[in-house]
Amino acid sequence: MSTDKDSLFSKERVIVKSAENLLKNSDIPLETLLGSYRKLLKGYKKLLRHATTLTRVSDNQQRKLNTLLERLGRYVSFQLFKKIAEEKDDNEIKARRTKLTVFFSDLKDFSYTASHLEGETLSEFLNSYLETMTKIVIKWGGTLDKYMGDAIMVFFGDPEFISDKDHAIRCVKMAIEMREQMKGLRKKWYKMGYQEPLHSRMGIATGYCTVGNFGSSERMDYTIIGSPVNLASRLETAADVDEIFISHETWGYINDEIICDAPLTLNLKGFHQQIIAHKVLYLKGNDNNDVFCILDEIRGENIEIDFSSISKNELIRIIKLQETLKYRAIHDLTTGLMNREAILKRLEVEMSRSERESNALGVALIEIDTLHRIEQSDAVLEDVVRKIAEIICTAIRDYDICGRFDESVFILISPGTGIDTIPCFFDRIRKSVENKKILVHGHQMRMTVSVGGTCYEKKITLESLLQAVEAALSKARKKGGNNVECIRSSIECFNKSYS
Amino acid sequence: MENLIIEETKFSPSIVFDGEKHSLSITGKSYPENTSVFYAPVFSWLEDYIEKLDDNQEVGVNIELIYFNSSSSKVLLDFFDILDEAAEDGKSIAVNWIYEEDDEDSLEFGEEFKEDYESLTFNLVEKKPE
Repeated sequence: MSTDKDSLFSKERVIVKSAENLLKNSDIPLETLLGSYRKLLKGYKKLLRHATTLTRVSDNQQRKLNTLLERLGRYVSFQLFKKIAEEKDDNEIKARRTKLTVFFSDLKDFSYTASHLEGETLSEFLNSYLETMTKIVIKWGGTLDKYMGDAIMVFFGDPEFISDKDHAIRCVKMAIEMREQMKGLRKKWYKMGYQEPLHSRMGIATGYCTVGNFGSSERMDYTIIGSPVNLASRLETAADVDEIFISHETWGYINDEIICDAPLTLNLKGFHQQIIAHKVLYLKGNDNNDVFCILDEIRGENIEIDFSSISKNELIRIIKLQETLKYRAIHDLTTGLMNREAILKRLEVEMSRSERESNALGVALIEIDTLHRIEQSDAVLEDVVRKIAEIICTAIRDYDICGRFDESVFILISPGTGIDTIPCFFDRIRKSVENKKILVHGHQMRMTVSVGGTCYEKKITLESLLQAVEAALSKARKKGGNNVECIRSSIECFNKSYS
Repeated sequence: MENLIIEETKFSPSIVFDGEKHSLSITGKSYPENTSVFYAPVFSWLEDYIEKLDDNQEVGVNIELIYFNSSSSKVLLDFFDILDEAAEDGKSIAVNWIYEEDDEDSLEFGEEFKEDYESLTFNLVEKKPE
């Protein structure tokens, strides 16, 4: 090569040589010196011009080469590309026998879906699937052998060899992640307007394969051949949607980390003997899954906690926040009693329980008399409400349920309290409020309540029950407050008073 | 004078220098194992040809290279230098740098070479698909 370079620059060398020879003489006529100098300058200018052009051309060529390599990299597996690019001499990858774990997957009924999709839609659809799956292959370090339509072939163990167990485990974990990702893709496809939900099926087998370049001298394909390749492919075909079938040998490497179903015996095409296959279920423990999810659709809660990154304090904060939100949803914040919505829901529950078990059910509205006449701020008034709520709660029994009905009215549900006992029971509550002094803005005050009560009677709606109890309260209020009035809730007896 | 014809190989271009038709063509790839050895007959033919060339004779030089290495670029510069000097002496020489449609890289290479020459007619010719 050096002679080639030398002769490429032979003209330039001649100029340099003659300049050097000239300088060896101490006595040079000026004319000769100038002539030689002109020649040297001309040669130098030419060289500079060449160097400039060559640099630009060479940079351009390098850029072109890099673009080409980048593009080419998309068509061969990452591992193979690295091997080809880093290999110093022209060594071709020689065929050799090695133990590999081989993976096959495809989309069930894809040909049917493909048959009624437009070409452009089909390629967009297929590429979104292959893109997602390929990212997972790269993540787990698999060698992507090829795509065949919607099918994907991957193997572990070459060019990079770690250990047979490691290859098998990574391969199965990759398959599990692919299956998980399919859920997200199905949602995405459904939103994009594809009707049929597509599901993948996968097959994995471990064993000795021949790996190397197969093909002609013009077009080589780096791939693998051997019985495990056929087995993985057959297991894939035998699997149902969302299933991962693995060979018994693969199972031998992974069973301490991954839970599988009881083994199946399969008759597979191309295999004379029966084949034992295992259906992969899930990973043991949560080693690789630090994300804890609570998805409660009824309550509309969707919490996702990543334990790999969350701090203890943050976790406590999230739990507290959840608790607070839950509490606020059903409680009145001043009194700590159930709010109107929650207590009315509870009343409906108690009504149906009373109906079912034929138990009595007393209901009362308890109104704070003259609350609006206290000329104080809202905060002070709320404090009065809270204190009266405390008195009522002390007066009722453990199984009675009290809630805040509106600004100055509480509602009390008394399971087991019948027609005969409600006036007496509700009056006891009235008295306990009357007898207790409360401190309002620094002043001791006596407050009173009016109580309207009724009993639930069969087939009465919640609305009718509330009408009855409101009518009773109105009656007690009209009598000047600090009073208990009870009426029956059934319509025909609406106006009959017990007191 | 005899025409110069060199067959194309995997690494070197086809050379067809026709002294009667005054058409000189270099076509193909150029990364020969020994660049100066490969192009030595090209230069000696060219120097003989130019020496005998009439001033008013129009000469067409067609260069159509899809790939060339750095040594070949240097050879091309020397080659164009000889043509440029001849043009300076009054010869009517036109270089046609032929590039494939949409091959921007090849067009850029042509532009780089073109910039260097003042006397020589240097045309960038887009090849129409056949």
